[in-house]
Amino acid sequence: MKNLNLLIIALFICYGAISQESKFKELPISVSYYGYNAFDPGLKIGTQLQLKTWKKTKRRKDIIKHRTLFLSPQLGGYVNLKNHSALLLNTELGIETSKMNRRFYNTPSLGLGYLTQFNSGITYSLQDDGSVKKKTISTTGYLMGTLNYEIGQHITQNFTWFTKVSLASKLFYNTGFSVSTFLELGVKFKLKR
Amino acid sequence: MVLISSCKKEEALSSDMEEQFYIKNGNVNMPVWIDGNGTSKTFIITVHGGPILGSGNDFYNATFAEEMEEKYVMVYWDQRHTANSHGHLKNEDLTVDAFISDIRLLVQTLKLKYGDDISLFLMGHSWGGMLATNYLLKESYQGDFKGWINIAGTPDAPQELIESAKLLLTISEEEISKGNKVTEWQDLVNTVSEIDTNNIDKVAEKTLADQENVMFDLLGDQRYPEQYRYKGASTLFSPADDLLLFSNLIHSGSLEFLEVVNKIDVVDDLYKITIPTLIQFGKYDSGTSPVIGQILYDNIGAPEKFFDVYQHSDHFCFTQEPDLFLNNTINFIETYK
Repeated sequence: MKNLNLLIIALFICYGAISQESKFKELPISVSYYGYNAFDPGLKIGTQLQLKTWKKTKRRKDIIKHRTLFLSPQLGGYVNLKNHSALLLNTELGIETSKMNRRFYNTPSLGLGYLTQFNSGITYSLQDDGSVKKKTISTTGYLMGTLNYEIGQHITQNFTWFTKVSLASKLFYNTGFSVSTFLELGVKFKLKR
Repeated sequence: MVLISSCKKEEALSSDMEEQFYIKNGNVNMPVWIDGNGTSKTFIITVHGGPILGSGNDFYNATFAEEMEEKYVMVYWDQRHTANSHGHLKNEDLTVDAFISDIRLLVQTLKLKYGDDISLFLMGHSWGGMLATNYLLKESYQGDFKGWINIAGTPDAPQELIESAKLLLTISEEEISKGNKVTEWQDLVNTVSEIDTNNIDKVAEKTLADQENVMFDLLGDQRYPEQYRYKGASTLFSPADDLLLFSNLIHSGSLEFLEVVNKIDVVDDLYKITIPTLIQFGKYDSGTSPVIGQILYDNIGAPEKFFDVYQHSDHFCFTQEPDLFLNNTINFIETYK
């Protein structure tokens, strides 16, 4: 219950931050397939707050690159039918790079999130008095860091497709950390406010 | 979140059971998979190898498992700090007693779910066999089981490396006497003979491991048919997760615990084990030599005990000679269930 509360509070904080930031007039919404180790299915939604944009010109080749530093709050979840399911509240900080007049872009980013892992099925828990109790929902919370690389294409000003791979690590997991991968495939579209 | 106190209602046993649940001991969550014929009321608790690098998948994906599931209920689980087990652990949470406590919890849970009248067998491989031995020596825990099956699990870890060197020499001499690849086998003998078996250090340990691979290469298909070579459990469509399996290895707690395991010697207590016992070792297992199996057989107190040495296997007789393994195991269970 504590973990669920934390998730809900964090969601409200994110929503508040987005609502109060007047300079972000157009917020892209992203919706994606979110596959734990690619094949265990999930869904992720998010948005992207532009923090800074700038251009970089390569003089010799006369190439102008657009760069955008952004912060992306996200909410996701996935199901591993044989083992567990999870909810993730996550933020990524990245730099999107695209060449002038070209629609393709790539984005390396770093993420930090809070993942609540739900055990599949009933959890039988040993009590201090030696008895066993059963819980229908049993969760464990982990901080999770991610290293991400995204490529995509802006089809129109308001519509983009993308795919992203992530190397993720749950921290303080067993006596160290875990290593997992995620694959995302999704779209981004802008909502005018 | 719903918390329900100990449930008295037992769950139905069907001929085609497939269930999953977790057991939780302190901060440790361990997944359990149940597969098989519940009408038999006979449950085989598998205890996988390792420690740390192992998973319930090792048995779950083994070729013999499917036939076992037709007759009995197979119970697969990931031990603490392995595969999909998870939680916030400290290094001091990795002790043999903690692993024993986990098996105890699993036994309690199975009885709670399926009733006190189910027949339980314990089947441990390698570290799992060693852990099962330690479990059965604890208090009156062996009373819960109708029998146990030890597959290449040692009661005396320090003796393993000494017997490993001896086995390499024995096999080499056997092959030399047959006139097979004499020069190569003699090279192996020369290398292993240089090891001081009274003081096996890390370098000697590495030499033994290397020479074991040399032995396997020289034996070729004589050891066991190619199709039975153990290639590791396939995890793509199974509950295990390879990345998690390996990432557990690099944790600080893992190395400390391995040091503890390498010193376990319970030979003097084996007389306390009195339940029917089936011991199964591979002739070419230089990691856990059949001589170790003989020590186990000679010292346990069980009046009904059996010792099989598989003539074409090394450490994984249950995958390398699955038909014979299945036959021996089913005969044992049918006799004592």
